Amino acid sequence: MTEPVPIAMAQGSSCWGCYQSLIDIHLNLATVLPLLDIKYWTCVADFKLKDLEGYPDKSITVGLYEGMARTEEDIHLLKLIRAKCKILIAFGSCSCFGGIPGMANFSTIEECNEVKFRNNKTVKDGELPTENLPAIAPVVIPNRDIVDFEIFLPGCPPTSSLILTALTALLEGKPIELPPHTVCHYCDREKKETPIEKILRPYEGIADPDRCLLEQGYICLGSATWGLCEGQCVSHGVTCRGCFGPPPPIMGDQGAAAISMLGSYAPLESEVLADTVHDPLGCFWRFTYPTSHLGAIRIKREEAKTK
Amino acid sequence: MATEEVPRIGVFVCHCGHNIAGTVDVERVAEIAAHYPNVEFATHFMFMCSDSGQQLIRDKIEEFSLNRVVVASCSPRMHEPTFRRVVEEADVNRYCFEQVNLREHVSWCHMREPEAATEKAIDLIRMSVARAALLVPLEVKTVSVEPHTLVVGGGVAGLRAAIDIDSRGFKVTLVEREPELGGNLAKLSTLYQGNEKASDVIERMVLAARISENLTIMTDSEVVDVEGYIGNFDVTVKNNATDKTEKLRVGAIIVATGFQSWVPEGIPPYGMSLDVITLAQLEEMKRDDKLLCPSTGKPPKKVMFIGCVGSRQPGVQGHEHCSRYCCTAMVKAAADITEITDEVLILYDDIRTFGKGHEEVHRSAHEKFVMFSKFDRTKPAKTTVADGALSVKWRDILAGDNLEFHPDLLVLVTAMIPPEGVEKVSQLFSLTRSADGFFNEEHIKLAPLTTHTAGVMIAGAAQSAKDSTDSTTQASGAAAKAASLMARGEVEIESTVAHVLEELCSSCHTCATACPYGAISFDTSKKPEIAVVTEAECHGCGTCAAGCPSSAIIMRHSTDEQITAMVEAFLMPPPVMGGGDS
Repeated sequence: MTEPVPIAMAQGSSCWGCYQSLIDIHLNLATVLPLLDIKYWTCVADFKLKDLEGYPDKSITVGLYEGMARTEEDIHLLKLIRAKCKILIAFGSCSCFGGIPGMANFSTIEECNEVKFRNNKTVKDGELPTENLPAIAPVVIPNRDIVDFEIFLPGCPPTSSLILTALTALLEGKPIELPPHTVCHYCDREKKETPIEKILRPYEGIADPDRCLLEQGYICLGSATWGLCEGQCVSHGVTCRGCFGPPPPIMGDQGAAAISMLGSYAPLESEVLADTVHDPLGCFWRFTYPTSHLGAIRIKREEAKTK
Repeated sequence: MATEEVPRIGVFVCHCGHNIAGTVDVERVAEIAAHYPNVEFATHFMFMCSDSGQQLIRDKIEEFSLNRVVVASCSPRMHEPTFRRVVEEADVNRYCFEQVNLREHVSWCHMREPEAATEKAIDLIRMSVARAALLVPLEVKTVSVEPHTLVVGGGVAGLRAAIDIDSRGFKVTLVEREPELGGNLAKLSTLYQGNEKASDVIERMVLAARISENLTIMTDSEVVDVEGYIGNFDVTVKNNATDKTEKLRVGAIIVATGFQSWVPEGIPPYGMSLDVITLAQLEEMKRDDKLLCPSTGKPPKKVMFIGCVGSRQPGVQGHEHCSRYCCTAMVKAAADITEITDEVLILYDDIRTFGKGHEEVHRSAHEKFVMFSKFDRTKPAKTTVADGALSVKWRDILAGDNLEFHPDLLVLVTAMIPPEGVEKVSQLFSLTRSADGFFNEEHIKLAPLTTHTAGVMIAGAAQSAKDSTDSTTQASGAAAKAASLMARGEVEIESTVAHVLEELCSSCHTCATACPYGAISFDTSKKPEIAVVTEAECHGCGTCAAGCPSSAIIMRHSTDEQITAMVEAFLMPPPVMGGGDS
């Protein structure tokens, strides 16, 4: 049997769902775990930051970074794991594009503090904590602008089978080959020529189970989204929210692509569109705002403040 | 592979005589261009399009082993074909040529700011050099041409075109919506300048058409569907009398759908009295020798014409254009009826009898004592009706007098407007329309008979208001265009088309919905189905590529990378290396 591969798994600001998905490979863990020499994985064992800091640079073969980097501690951890690992994987959509926490860039940090701490609806006399906590960055900067990655493995979370495929290939020293298709490729719903006549919210009407959801007026981002999920949501009657980000080359602007698609696909008056598409930023850029063109402008604006 | 070859770019800046060099410092522009990345050679020259200019390009391609050529001169609409040919003669693929428009886009529009114009020229060339480095050679493709032309519209223009094509020995089918051929001309009495009877002219043409060997006439018929592309259109024609449809395969189409004479329904003085008519209605009366006042049935003694009704009136009654036939038609009609009336008066804003022999018609009206009075266009004549009698009051701006006239018959000389159903025709043949509603030609001077739909020509009043002389001239031109297509037998098509990356296609139909040319269909044999571009129908507009949410469409010759390179080159100029600049 070959030597176990040294691996480190770090978590920035995120929900831990990606590592949960890794653990969800269930019995396959029995095959995979013996192949791994886990050097750092705080969420399953009692590792400390100093453990990771103690390894020589580039001594760990594979690193996974889940989440984005909002706090000074996150940014330190991200740079640290980059230094220690030969291959660094952006694990999950937060790590690839900013993900759900990237939507914090819709607001300023002060607005975030207000909602989270000072005026939190579930807390009385809330105040901004000042002790024993890392400083928080004024804006979410995509991880790829902080360090370089060898591999981007998006998804919210990446599916267990995708993780298994990727890890297996990596451990065998083979390239990770992923199909480039979008979500629609995996969707069996029937497609007709009809453009959208009216935009519907998910709770409105009863969707035809056999027909394209987008054509029925439900905003589905399947055509703008990398289909590594193999169409899990659309085949269960739910519109695609775009959680795997844009298809290859994956750093395209998913939100812009989806909204421009709607421009020609839903020939409605712009006022009607504006009235019926609620929260377009959150709808089209839910997972990719920090790496989008709009999001980049937001980050530049924040940078300009500090200059 | 060609994409991996190191770009070796030559930049050729044209003076265009004084046209560009009079404003832009071409010498400085060329000097700076020489220092851009991948530029091996840059120069400026009096006329790049001249024989010696063309030779210069070919020589330098060889001398410096250039594989990309940037010519900074006039509009690509003018000389792109010229320079593409030149680089091809020197074994450089035509799609590795890039043209910068320093004339229409720079010198002509910034004539008074030579320094700013020079800066703009420098920017534009820098952008094109950046794009040129990323250009890739594309295959030149051809399609065969079905030797059969469809002419839509059996008026004077359509007849002329069809007879001309027949006389060249090519098959032609003429489709006319009405039961009879002849269109608007058949409604007229006599024609200027020779006073020929309109019916004689039409009869001669119809006879020529009927005895033609290669000409099929389909009256009572309309084109209901058009598919395909230059050289290979599949056209469905429906006979409205029998409800039967017929399918034709044609290589070229001439649209000669003409005009209709505007009837100012609901706009006074039209409708105030039965005796207020349009010139078109008067012509029909003249043709039938029944020039009578509609209210009384008696011959009119006093007739008044008002010119430019609905023409040259932007915003007021909707038509900005001069209808270009009515001044001469009006003075001729007025002169014609002097023999059977007592007084004829013309109220005009301008008299534009500009065509060959038209001024003679104008003079003859004066000689026959037709009265002319110029009205104030800001204060239109005021018409009233009392006891069935018309009274018109106006101010003659040459005499400065307020005048009044009591015509028995008031003739409004109204505008030519696009015929009913023009929207449908425009959709059928993918033709665009100008603000006046008539079909757009490809280029008003450089390609006045072809349209943006390759293989579809326009002729006559379908293109803009004009008289029958100009219409038939255009028709013969369009027929020659169609015949030359037939004679060549095959035609090159642009390779600057959309290309679908099959594995990325979501089959979401966004591209098919967005495509203005119907060039995208779906290959349903694949599961899931994928979008397919019919290259001969694609115009390379890029709408599909911009709309595609899956990044599955590449616009050949305008790829994202090529466009981004231009934007970057504009926003982030590379440092000027070497040379005398410090």
